[in-house]
Amino acid sequence: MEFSSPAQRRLETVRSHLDSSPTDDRTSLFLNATASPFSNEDDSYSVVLPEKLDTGKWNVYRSAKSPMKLVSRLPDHPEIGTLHDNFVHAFETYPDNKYLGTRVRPDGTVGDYTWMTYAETAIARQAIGSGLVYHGINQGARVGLYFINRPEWIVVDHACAAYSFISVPLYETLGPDAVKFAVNHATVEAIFCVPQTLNTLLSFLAEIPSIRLVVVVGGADEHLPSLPPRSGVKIVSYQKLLSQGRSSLHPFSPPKPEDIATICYTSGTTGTPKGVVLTHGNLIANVAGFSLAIKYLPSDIYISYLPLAHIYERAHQILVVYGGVAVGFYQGDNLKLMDDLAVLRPTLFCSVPRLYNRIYDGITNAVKSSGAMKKRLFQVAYNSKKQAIINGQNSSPLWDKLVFNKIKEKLGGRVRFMGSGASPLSPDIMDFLRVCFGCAVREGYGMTETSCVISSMDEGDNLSGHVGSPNPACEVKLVDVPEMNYTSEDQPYPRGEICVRGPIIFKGYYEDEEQTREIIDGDDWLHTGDIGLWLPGGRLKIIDRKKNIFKLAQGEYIAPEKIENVYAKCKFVSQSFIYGDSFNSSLVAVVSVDPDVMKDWAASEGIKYEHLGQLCNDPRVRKAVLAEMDSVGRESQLRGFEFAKAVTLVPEPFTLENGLLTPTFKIKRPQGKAYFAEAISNMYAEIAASDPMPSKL
Amino acid sequence: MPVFKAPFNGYSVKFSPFYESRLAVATAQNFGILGNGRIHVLELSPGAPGVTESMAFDTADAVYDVCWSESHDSVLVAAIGDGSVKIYDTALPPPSNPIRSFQEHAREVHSVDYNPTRRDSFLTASWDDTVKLWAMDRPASIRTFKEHAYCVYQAIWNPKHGDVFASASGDCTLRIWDVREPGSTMIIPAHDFEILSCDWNKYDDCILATSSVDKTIKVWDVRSYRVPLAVLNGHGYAVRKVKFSPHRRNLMASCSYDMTVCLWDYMVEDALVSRYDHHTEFAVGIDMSVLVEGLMASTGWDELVYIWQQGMDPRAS
Repeated sequence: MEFSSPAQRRLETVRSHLDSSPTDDRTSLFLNATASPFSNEDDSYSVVLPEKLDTGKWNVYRSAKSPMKLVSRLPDHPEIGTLHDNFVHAFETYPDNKYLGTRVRPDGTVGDYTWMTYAETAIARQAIGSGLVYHGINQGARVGLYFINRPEWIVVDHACAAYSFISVPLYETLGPDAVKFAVNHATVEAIFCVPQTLNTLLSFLAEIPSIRLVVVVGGADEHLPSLPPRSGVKIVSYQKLLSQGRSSLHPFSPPKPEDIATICYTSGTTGTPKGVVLTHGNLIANVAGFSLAIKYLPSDIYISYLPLAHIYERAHQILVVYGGVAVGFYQGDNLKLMDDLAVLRPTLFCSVPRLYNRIYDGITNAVKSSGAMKKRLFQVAYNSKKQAIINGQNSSPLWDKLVFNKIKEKLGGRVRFMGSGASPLSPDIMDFLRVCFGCAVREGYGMTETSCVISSMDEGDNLSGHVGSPNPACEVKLVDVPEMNYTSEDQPYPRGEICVRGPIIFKGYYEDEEQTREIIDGDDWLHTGDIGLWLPGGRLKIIDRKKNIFKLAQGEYIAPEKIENVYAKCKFVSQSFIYGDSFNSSLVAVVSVDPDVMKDWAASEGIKYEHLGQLCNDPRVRKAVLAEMDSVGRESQLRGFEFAKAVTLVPEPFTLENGLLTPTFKIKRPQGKAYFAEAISNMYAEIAASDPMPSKL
Repeated sequence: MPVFKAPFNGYSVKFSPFYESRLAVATAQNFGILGNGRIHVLELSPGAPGVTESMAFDTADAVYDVCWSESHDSVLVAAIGDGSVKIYDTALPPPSNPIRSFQEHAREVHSVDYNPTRRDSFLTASWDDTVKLWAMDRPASIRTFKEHAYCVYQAIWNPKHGDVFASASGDCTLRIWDVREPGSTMIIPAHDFEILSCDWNKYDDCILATSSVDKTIKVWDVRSYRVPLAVLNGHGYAVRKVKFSPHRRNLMASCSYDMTVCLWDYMVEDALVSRYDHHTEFAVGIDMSVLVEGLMASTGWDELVYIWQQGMDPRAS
């Protein structure tokens, strides 16, 4: 064997010492191919069925795990029909297992994790539910949750399930207007908050007349403001509510599967929030389907830091209860998440591409600055392990020892499963996570309106760049979108708008018949607005968004989110906003820069650093960032017209506060256009100036 | 028992045949894959810390093995990753070292062994598939033995016959050589996987042991080499080195990628005498003192060198 370098030869030699398995023994055992009508080698993850017997068109995909019947109940426990049943099952099966853990002590300091067991949580949720009844909150009343992830959130949620209250989760980052709208729209009667969000609430308390009870979590009674008795609103602390409930325990009023469990307000990228009505049956069906894809175990530890008001985290919480898993909460500060991970050492880690992109940037930057030797070592190890994973072989433990174990330690060292959802994860980054963390990494696709998961990657599927096969609890079809040239006849793969049907589909937008009819058609199909295609094996790949697409002047269609995902890999880029329209033939970018990288780079280039704003306005810096973005774009094989031709750098990040992001960190395009209107027109002026003779061909 | 922490990953450890308290250690940066190497000379002392470094020599590439001269108490020979063989005199300060450097092997030199009976020559085994014979006063190697079809991991002199040696190779054979003969005198296909190490019994010049990627150690009698005298199972990964005791006829030590060091009595049915799990990374170097019975040393990728008395816990201080 010849190797390109001594290092490669040495690595290969040591690796061969560790591989004493006889070669090709994998062929000695194989599955006996059976003649099932539902499984063939081409469609191994999904089965295809006709939508209607009379049309004869076979275009409806179901999971190969349950082709005959859509799953609506947990296969091992079909008696569980509601969230209440689910929790009762958990605390009867695992009463003494750790359940809710926090490292924030009552005095606000941070220490080791302290835990509540499933049985303790069961007692607390009965007390909280009884406390609400004590204050005159009746079955069917809406209860708001307006605070960041912490054990009390889950206790209140279980109380709502046990006493048939409808929970209305609100992002703690929502501004006053959105909260006011949701509270009034859902006529919330009781709301749980923390001292920080209490102030927001008090500023417009008179404008939310349905509120009768405000419960403050983590505040002492003596510090609570007193309200004029005429206002009709009572403010109590969580602790007081707990003791009030304990001294007058009420029996449960369990919900039925068809009862409403929660109303989730999704902001959407445009317009006013919409209240997604989900029943207990919806949520249980979704989790039941997803439980066929991944088993959570009582020995697992889950870290909760994604907003509980988002369906992705909420659905996980239901699955986690079913498995008897321990849930540790972060301190409430994303900047300290790494520290929390090191202490908790979770086995399950669910996140969003935004965070995975940051992890990727962090590791690749660390590798780049670790010297030529370490960099080479990393490259050799990375390529070898990636190759092994693609071929479905076990990678040599050598690479883990040399390189990857140290990286794995960053998430505590015990992660066995990584999930990604909420927005598309770039395939490179998925491969990177699989190699570096050596665990199952699976991407899922879903939305609030489908109670979370529509599809997810199957176990043992090593291909990245898709979102897997349908959740066994729903069926999926693609519908032609002629105006965007997506049809079921497309080669090599059929394409179209993703439509979903089954027990996971929501009941409608709360008191908004019209918008409900827009999204659910007469045959009960929910139109997601996402464009997908079917990869071989019945695996769905999201390629576009029906709304987020525009044409450039020369007629090319642009999907800006795809391009933003590419540029996110550029080291300078923290966030980017790609803009284009049919009046211009090229794209421009507004980039929120990574301050640390900028500062270091300026120092290395000898550019004087006064403040970030000054760097952002420096034409040399702009040029360098654009050059770096170009090279990232080339690496990812962007097409020529997909490159941003000019860039504006801004020092401040795009946030919820400045109105540029949705709570799920998607960019609000109309707002972005207005916010950066001046920068955008300047960039187009700049492009026009540098290219005075626009091609007239 | 004393422990020495090296800045690099350990590859080999050898007791001095002249001083019972002296050892040499071969180390390499980045697990020997890329980077520099260093040779440490260690001195054992009665009180704490028990072991101190008396000297260190830096090299431009990994040091995979080291051995003491049998004729000069201060002289060391080192096997270097860049294919060179370097000679050091610990009586001279580091700037005057190495006193000789031979650049002949085309690839990594993996082992070096000084002739214990004639005391005038030494052998090197290399990944260029050859074994070379050297003498201190010659400007170049005396002979090259080229028969193996893959890396030679170790070549080791017979303890009685000053012209006979054995070589262990990745081509899955063990070869016996007499330097007076033109080619090898015996080829033993000892394992179905790469052979990483071999050693002669110090009490019976016809018995030797091999260790392999197949996780076993086999003991052979060259007079009837069709079947091994014994097959020792117990390591969980490839056995990196095997070494016979200089004091007890049936005793041998081994170290492995399974991170343990084992002692074996190959004559009894239940051969495993003891297992030491003090290393936290691959254990790749082992030696037994000729001068103090039962004194052992080991090193590994955890950058630690342990020196301990048989029967004691290497970690107990």
